[in-house]
Amino acid sequence: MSYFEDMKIVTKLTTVFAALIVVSMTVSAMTWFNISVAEKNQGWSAHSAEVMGAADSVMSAMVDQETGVRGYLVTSDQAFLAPYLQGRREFSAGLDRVRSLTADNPMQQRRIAELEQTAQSWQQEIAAKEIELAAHPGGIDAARKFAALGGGKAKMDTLRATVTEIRDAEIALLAVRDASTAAAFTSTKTATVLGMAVSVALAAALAGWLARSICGAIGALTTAMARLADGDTQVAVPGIGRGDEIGRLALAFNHMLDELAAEVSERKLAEAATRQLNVELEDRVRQRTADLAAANQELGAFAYSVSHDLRAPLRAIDGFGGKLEKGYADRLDDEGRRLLQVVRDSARRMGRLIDDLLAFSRMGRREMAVNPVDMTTLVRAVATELRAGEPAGRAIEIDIADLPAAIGDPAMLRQVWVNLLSNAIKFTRTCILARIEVGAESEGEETRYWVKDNGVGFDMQYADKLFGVFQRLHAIDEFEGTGVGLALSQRIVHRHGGRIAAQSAVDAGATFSFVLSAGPPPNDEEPTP
Amino acid sequence: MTSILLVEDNPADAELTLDALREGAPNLTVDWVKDGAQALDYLFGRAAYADKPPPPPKVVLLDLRLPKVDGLQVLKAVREDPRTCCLPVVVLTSSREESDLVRSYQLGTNAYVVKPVDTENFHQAVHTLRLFWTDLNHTRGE
Repeated sequence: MSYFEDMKIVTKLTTVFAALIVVSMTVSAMTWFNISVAEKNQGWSAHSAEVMGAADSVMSAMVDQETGVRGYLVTSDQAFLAPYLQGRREFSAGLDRVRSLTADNPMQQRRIAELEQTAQSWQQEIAAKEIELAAHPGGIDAARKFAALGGGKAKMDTLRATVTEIRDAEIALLAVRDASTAAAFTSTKTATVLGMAVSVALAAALAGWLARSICGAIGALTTAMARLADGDTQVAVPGIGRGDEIGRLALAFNHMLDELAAEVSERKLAEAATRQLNVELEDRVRQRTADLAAANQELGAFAYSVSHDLRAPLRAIDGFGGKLEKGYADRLDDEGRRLLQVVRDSARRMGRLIDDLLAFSRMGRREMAVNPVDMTTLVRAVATELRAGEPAGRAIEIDIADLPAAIGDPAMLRQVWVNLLSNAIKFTRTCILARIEVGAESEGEETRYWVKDNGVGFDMQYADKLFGVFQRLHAIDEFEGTGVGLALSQRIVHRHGGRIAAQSAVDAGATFSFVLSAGPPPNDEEPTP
Repeated sequence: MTSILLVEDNPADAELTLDALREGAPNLTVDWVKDGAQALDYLFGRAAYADKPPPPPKVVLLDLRLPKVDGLQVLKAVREDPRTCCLPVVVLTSSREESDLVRSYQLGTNAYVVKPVDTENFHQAVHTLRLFWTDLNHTRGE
C-alpha cells in the first residue's frame, strides 16, 4: 500500500486503466475463443450427422442387395435382381462417402475397411454363389439350400454391427463435442461475470481513491488557501510526505507559505520601522513647531518692544520740538525754525515707519479668516474712501470694471486694494488728469486682478526691489511713503497662495496685478512674522 | 480738590502729559509717580504715603510698561481691593498690542488709549481725557 501511495497519480491512473484494459481484453479473447470452439463443434455435429446418414445409406444399400437376392431366390425372376445391382452401386458410392467423411478418423477408416471387406465377402461368397446356383436350371433349390445355411445372415449381422459401431463412434464424438460447446459457453459466462466484477471493483477502488486522496487533498488545500487569504500565514497543508503530485503540491504550498510568512514578518518589521520613523519625524516636527512658535513669540515680544519703546522717544522729540517751537519761536531765526521742523518731520516719519513695520509684522502673524469676497463692491468702497482723502481740486478718473468674486480674508484683500489704489492715486499726482483702471480676467482656475494708472511709472530694472520692505523708487520729497505697502500686499497675496507683479516704464504709467486661485487659498503655512 | 494720578516712568512723556493735563485747569492737582510700586503705595496710603494718605484721585492714568510692578499688576491689585475697586483707571500706553488691550479690559480698565505719536494729537488726546474724567465723569463718594 505504501508503495502504491508513493506512486505518482499519473502512474496510478495508468496502472488501473491498464488493468481494466487487460481484464476487458481477456474477457473478449475468451469469448471469441469459446464462440469459435462452439462454432467448430456445431460444424462437427453436422458432420457426424452426415457420417451417420451415410453409414445408414450404406446399410440400407446392403439390405437392398440382400432383399433383391432373396426375391430372386423366391421368385427366380431376374427382375428381382435389379435392386441387388442397384444396391451394389449405392453401397460403393455410400462407402466412398463415409470413407471420405471420416478420412481423419483412423478408427472409423478401419471399421469402414472392415465393412467393405465383410460386404465384399458377402457379395462374393454368398450373393454371387446364390445367384450362380439359381442361374442353373433347377438350381434354385440348391441356391435356397445354400441360403438356408445362414452364411448370408451371419455376414449381414456382422455388417449391421459394424455400421452400428460407426454410428456409435460418431454419437460418442457428438457427445464429446456437445460437452465441449457447453464448457465453452460456461467459460464465456464465467469470464464475462468475473471480468465485469473485476472491472467494477477496480473502477470503484479508483473512484474511491480519487475521492478520498485527491479530492480530500484539494479540499484541504482550498481551505488552507482561504485561511491564507484571510491573513493566517501559520496555516499548514496536510499531505507532506506523500510521494505523489499532491505531496509535491503540499510541499510547494508550504514552502510558499514559509516564504510568505517571512515576507510578511519582514514587511511588519519595515512597517514598524516606518512607524518609528514617523514618530521620530512627528517629534521633530513638533520640536520644530515649538521652536518656531518660540521664535514667533520672541519676534512678537520684539515687535511689542519696538512699538512701545521706540515710540516714546519719538514722541518726546516731536513733543519737545513742539514746546521749543511754541515757547522759543521768537528767539529762533528762520533757519533755526526750519531745522526744528526737519527734526519734527523726521520724528513723525519714523513713527509712521514703525507703525507700518508693525502692521507688516502683524499681517504675517494674523490668522486668516477665509470668506467669499465681493471684489467689485470692495474696490468701489476703497476707491471712494481714497478719493475723499485727496484735495478737492485733483482730477481723478477711476474706472472699475465688474470683478469676479474671490475667496480669501476680506480685511487683508482690502489692504491690498488700498495699497495698490493709493499708490496709483499717489503716483498720478503730477498728471493733469489721473486715469486709473481696475479690471480682472480669468485665467483657467485663476483670476488676475489689475490696477492700471497713467502716472510716473518706474524703470523696470528696479522692478525686483518694488516688493521689498522699505524699498522705494522715488525720492521722499517727490512721493511720500514708507516703502512697506507693496511688501505688505505681496505678503497678503502670498498667504492667499497667489502672485503679484508689476509692469511699467518711466512716465508711461504702471500696471500692478495679482493672481488669486478661484478656489479657497491653500492651507496657510505657519504664519511668519 | 480734584486730583489725577499719573503713573509714567518716562519723564519726557510725563512732562508732555502733565502739560496737556494742566492746560486750562489751574486748580487741578496732578500727582506723578514713576513706577507701579509707588502707584500702589499712593493709592493704598502705604510707605511714603502712610503718614498723609492722599485722597482718591478722579482718575488714574496708567502706563503699562513700568519698573518694579507693571501696569497690569497695578490694575489687578486696584480692582481686587474693595477700597479702590470702583476707581476709574485709564490705560495710557504706546502699545497697540491686542494682548495688552484684551488683558487690560479683562482686568477691568475703564478705557484704553494709545498715545498718538504726533505731538498735537497726543496733546489733544490727553486734554480730552482730562475734560471727560474730571468734568463729566462721576465717581464714588461725590
